[in-house]
Amino acid sequence: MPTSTKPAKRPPLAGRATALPAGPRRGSGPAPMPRVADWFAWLGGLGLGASAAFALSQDSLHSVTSMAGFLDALGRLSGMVGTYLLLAMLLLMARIPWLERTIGQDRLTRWHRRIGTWPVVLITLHVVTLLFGYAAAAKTNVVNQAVTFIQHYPDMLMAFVGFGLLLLATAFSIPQIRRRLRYETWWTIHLAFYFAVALSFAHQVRTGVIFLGHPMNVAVWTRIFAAVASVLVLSRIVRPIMANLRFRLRVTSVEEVSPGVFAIVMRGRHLERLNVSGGQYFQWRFLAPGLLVHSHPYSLSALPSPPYLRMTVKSLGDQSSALAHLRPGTRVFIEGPYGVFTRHQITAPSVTLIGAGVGVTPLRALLEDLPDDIAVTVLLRASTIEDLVHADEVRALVEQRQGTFHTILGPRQRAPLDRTTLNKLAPRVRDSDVYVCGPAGFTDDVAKAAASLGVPTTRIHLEEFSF
Amino acid sequence: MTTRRTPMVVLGTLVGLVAIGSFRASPAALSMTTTAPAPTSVTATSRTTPTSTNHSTTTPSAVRSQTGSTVNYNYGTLAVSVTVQGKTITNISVPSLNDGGNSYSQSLDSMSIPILTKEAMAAQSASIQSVSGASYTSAGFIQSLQSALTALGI
Repeated sequence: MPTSTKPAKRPPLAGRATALPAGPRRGSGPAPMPRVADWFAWLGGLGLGASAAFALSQDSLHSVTSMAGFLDALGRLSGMVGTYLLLAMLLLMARIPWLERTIGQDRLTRWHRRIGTWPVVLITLHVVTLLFGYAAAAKTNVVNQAVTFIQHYPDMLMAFVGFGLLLLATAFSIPQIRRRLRYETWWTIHLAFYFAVALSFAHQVRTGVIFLGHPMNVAVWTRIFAAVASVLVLSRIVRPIMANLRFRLRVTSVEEVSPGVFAIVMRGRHLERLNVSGGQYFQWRFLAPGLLVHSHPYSLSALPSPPYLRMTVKSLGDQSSALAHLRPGTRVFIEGPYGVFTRHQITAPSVTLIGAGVGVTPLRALLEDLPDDIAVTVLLRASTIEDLVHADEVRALVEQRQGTFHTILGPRQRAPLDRTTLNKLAPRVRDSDVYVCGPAGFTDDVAKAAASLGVPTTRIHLEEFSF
Repeated sequence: MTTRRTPMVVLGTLVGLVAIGSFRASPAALSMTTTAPAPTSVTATSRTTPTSTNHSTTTPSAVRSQTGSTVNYNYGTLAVSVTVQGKTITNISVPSLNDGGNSYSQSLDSMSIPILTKEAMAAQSASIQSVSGASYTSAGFIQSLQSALTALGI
């Protein structure tokens, strides 16, 4: 902090307690790589088609004419495609950096969920068709056939256990059921998918007709599984551990900046190597009681100012209440940065940043990271003036850029941020990239208002927070 | 973005289907009953075993055939038939194979029986290693072959 005149012994953030010390800010993480994401899309499709064709490669028109032969082929096809889709779902959630910074976790998660139903449907079909098909061929009933499978076929017991886990984990992912679960419970049960996939592998290569006597096929399929496993281990376990061994973040201070809203400042080493863009978020895990087990996503509320980082949270959930009582010195484990709510999305000559309540946090960091030639309009909404978060900082940054800054105060019904208000306060909105952050209802409303004013949807960028 | 990349995935899928589909248009024919290798390989076997060649020339014997007992090997039943000239095994076949009719045991059998046949021809006995991954078929094959050889007094 070259411009700071504060004595070294004082807490570095005293004075304006929550502000990060002035100094060179680090921002503008790596840009998206749409080409790479395109390649992933092509490759994903190619693999899907190839695995389907591959599953049927041992069949002939003749072999599928009998009932048993038809069920057999169908079972093989559904098992192969279902497994492929499971692997694809794992990769979508593997935090692959190129995908994260290009497509963003929100959208990757949407793909993951959209595919979600298929593997379980296909693999159930696989189990049912093969039970009936083999039972028909052996002229026995399906119960006997199931017993025969488990007793006499290699690794089939593991496969059945894996199938059970798949059904269990899927059941707890059905939206109606998931809503009733604590996040932590759902997360733990969701791990069963990894075991389900792993347990199914052996029976595939040891009983699969396309693998028996085809060592080449076994080698290829084994390498695909190994590759997926390595990507998962590397990017979800090894990389975060390495990064945190380097950064060694600890809580420096926790300050209430608005009623129930806390700014948490952390200090770490080598933060200049944290390639983060303004507007991105990290998964935070505080090594403190009640916070240790699970990580939660929060945006940075300012660009890193090595050796400091700051995030700002509202204490609503169990976890964010516990955050308010963090002790200085608490170790912090981060994963990230994630998110595409960054300057890299800008295609218009100006931006309009719209935030509600604590939703200002990514906008506050984004504001610092915007290119100099971009005109800025910022609208902040809150119920009362006390509920505005970091409004002074935002105002100062906007003034520095000679932009426009407005606050909208009052209950949502009386002071809505609708089409009329938006048009009045941000007349350049049509010519803008619009960044909106707030609760889901708010972002939806603002997105609709902006769209009705003629902003193309590709220029509307939303970041929702939920608790 | 989502709408932009969906066609890539769909088109990629079609390309993958066609590519692998045409590459493997003609799957290897699966034969239910496996006969022994062609006589040439038998000759080759005999030639590499001078003792047996010697033996067969000094005491030329009648050609005899015997089918072993039908063995239940978990996926179905099989019986091995063996042809000998004197004490030399000249042909091994599996005239009776009921492999349960499912694709798994069919492909397992079509993979393992040729290997077992070849091994038995080379060993000139039923003392052979079972094929890994096909232990039931191997055990059934060996058991039936041994019963045929015993019946022939070999």
